[in-house]
Amino acid sequence: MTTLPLEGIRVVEFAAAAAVPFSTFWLAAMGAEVIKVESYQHPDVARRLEPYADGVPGHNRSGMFNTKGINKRSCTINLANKDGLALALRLVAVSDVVVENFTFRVAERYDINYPRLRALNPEIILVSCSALGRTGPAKRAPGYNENISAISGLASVTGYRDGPPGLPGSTWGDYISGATLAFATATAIFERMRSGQGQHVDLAMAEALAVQIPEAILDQVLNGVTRGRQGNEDEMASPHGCYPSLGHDQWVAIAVFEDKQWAGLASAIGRQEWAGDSRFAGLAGRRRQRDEIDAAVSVWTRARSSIEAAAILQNHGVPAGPFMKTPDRVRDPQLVAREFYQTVDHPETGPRLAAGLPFRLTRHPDIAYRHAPLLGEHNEYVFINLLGMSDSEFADLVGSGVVY
Amino acid sequence: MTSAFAGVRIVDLSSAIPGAYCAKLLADHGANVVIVEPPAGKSLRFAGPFHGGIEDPERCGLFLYLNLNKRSVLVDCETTEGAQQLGRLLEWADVVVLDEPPGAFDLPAIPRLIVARVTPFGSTGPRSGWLGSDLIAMAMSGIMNSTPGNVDDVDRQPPLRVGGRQGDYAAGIVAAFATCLALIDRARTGLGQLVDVSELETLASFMFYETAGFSYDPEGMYVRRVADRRLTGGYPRTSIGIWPCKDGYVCIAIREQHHFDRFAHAIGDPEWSRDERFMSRAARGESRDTLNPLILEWSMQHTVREIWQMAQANDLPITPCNDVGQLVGLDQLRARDFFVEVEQPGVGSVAIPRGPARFSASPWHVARPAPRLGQHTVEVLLEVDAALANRSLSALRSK
Repeated sequence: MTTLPLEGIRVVEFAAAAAVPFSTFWLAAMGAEVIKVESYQHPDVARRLEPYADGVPGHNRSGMFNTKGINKRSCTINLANKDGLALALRLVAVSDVVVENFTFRVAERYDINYPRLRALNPEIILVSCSALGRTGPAKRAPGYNENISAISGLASVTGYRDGPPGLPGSTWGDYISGATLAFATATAIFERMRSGQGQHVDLAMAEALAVQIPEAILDQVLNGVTRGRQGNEDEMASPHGCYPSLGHDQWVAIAVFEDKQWAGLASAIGRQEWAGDSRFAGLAGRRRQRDEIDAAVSVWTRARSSIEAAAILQNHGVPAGPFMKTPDRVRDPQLVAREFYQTVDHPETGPRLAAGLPFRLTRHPDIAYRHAPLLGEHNEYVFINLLGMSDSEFADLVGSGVVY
Repeated sequence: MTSAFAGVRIVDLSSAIPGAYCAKLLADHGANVVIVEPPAGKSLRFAGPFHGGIEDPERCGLFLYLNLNKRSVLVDCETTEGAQQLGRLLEWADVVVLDEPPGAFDLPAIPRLIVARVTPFGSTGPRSGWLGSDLIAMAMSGIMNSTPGNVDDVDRQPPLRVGGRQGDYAAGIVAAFATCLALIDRARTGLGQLVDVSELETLASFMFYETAGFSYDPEGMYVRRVADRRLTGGYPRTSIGIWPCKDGYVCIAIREQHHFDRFAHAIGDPEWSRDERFMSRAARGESRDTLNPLILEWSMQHTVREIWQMAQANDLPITPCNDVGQLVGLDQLRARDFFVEVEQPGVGSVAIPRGPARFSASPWHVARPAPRLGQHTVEVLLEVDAALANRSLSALRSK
């Protein structure tokens, strides 16, 4: 097996919930040693969120934690204790990257900031994730994914044309932020390989989400046009949307960008005469005749399963795909063929399904998936092996409630 | 101040947003990115929004944003000479970014070259040749099952994509991350590799809640919270969601009991706030049909500004729900200089958003505006010739 790109990089995670742990899940899969700092008093909040394995709550039974925690280690330190904080900083001193999503208030209370960490470890990379950034008049404002999706304008462009603003599903903003954090952390690591310098990465989720809608921002700054909600419409494609297919809540997504694809659609649904009809010429023509097109396409799609309709359309050179829920997605032939889902065994929950990485590196085909850490599973490794404490020193820390 | 990717040579052959955005993220941090354009120009030059609404390939807002800091070389790959020029560009490059499916483009066997290929479904598997788009990835990945969420009639209201083309940008971020990993690997080993990014997998990898629900508690939480679009997203499910107010919308995301207690206190301890049906997160979920009208009655009496001030004074997760005009004017972003004026020839000064993260030592920067079609053809081809000649010379010398 080749050495993974991030082998030898130690990451200390003072973070909970979704965005940061998602980014470090990717970093850990790519070889970084990720050590979570949590405690029995304050475990990663994901440990106490549904779904629990078989519906039974427990610190080590959360599906959210156990899938995002894959390949990580966990140690427990009471940061509210002065000695606990000092202990955590000893860990920082022997690490490469610190990732944190403290609220501003807590970061102030613990005095965790880049100048202080750099004094301890000149090459440290500090990655901060917050709702609105570590500077500016609203730097103290707390915010969850929903707040940030709203403040960054994403909700204003999501939803039905005549409906209210809609929140992107599945805590979308957390994952966009997490993917961005992974990119930013890897960038800082590459930069440090070449320059030897560490740095502070300040990710404001509101900014990471705002750049997700550049078309709307550019229309605003270039033309003063404020875009609203457009359902599934797209200015570059028509027809473009979800069409009902056979069954309850079944749909097929169709996106026609080019004339060639339009001819393919016409032929697929038995309307060959459409291809040469000037009323439907070009994007503009098809947009004008949208109602007529949508009605005819719907008649055709309703008579077929979403998978069958998508396959026929693809055979005619039309971008199309079935709307899928989880049971279909985890059995999707493409995702299965690429082994996207992994079955990972866990001492308390047994084997469970987890999504893997959304990319493959041909030099690194074999990625190991080791179960998410039990709370405090790696205390001995971190305090004795890594920080070089004696058994009695470690026992004292446990006895005094610093490690807890 | 340094640039993280200074000196990294990238040939950007992409024709769609994911590849173009991947190369942009690297270009904005110093990579030497060259886009290769056919005589008619890249198709993204013909995407809106256009400056002044005039459809002109040199006035395309999206193009000028995605191609900031890049140079343009016009190469007609249909001709023998053009194919040779492309071959030399790839000899010169450290990274090539492309979005053609496998088979459509013959990759040269250059061991040190990193090939970043971002496609709708990935480079392998039975559907690697399928055509995709943002909408298709949104539908197949499951994100549509909770967007916008809480629909009344699942057979009439279609599932929706997240607004804009956000799946495309997400795939671009993943491609930039994976390319950066390949650069780290190459700095150690001298070897390139294929970076195979799938837009479908990118979005499917965001579905932790749904996948975990299905795998960990299929008969319980999955059925209760995820299985049906009438339940999903859950907005406004408890005290979480978008609420209309006197002059717009706000987003309330109260989860924890201490948030609810501070919220109740801040709005004057109304009698209902002590109702035991609302005394835990789970209870508020159960009683949302009772609670939601009470919150609505309060929100409709106040402006966005009043609510935002109240939230900040009380450290509450309640924020404005901005339209894009309000986003562009937001104090917080202005104070952080989020928008940078770039002088774009033919268009004028344009306020471009910075990158998605702030780096203290190797910041986002503007070296040059987006290129005109073929603006750097001669300059780049001469640079490539010189670099390749130099390389041959050093190889000779070392013999």
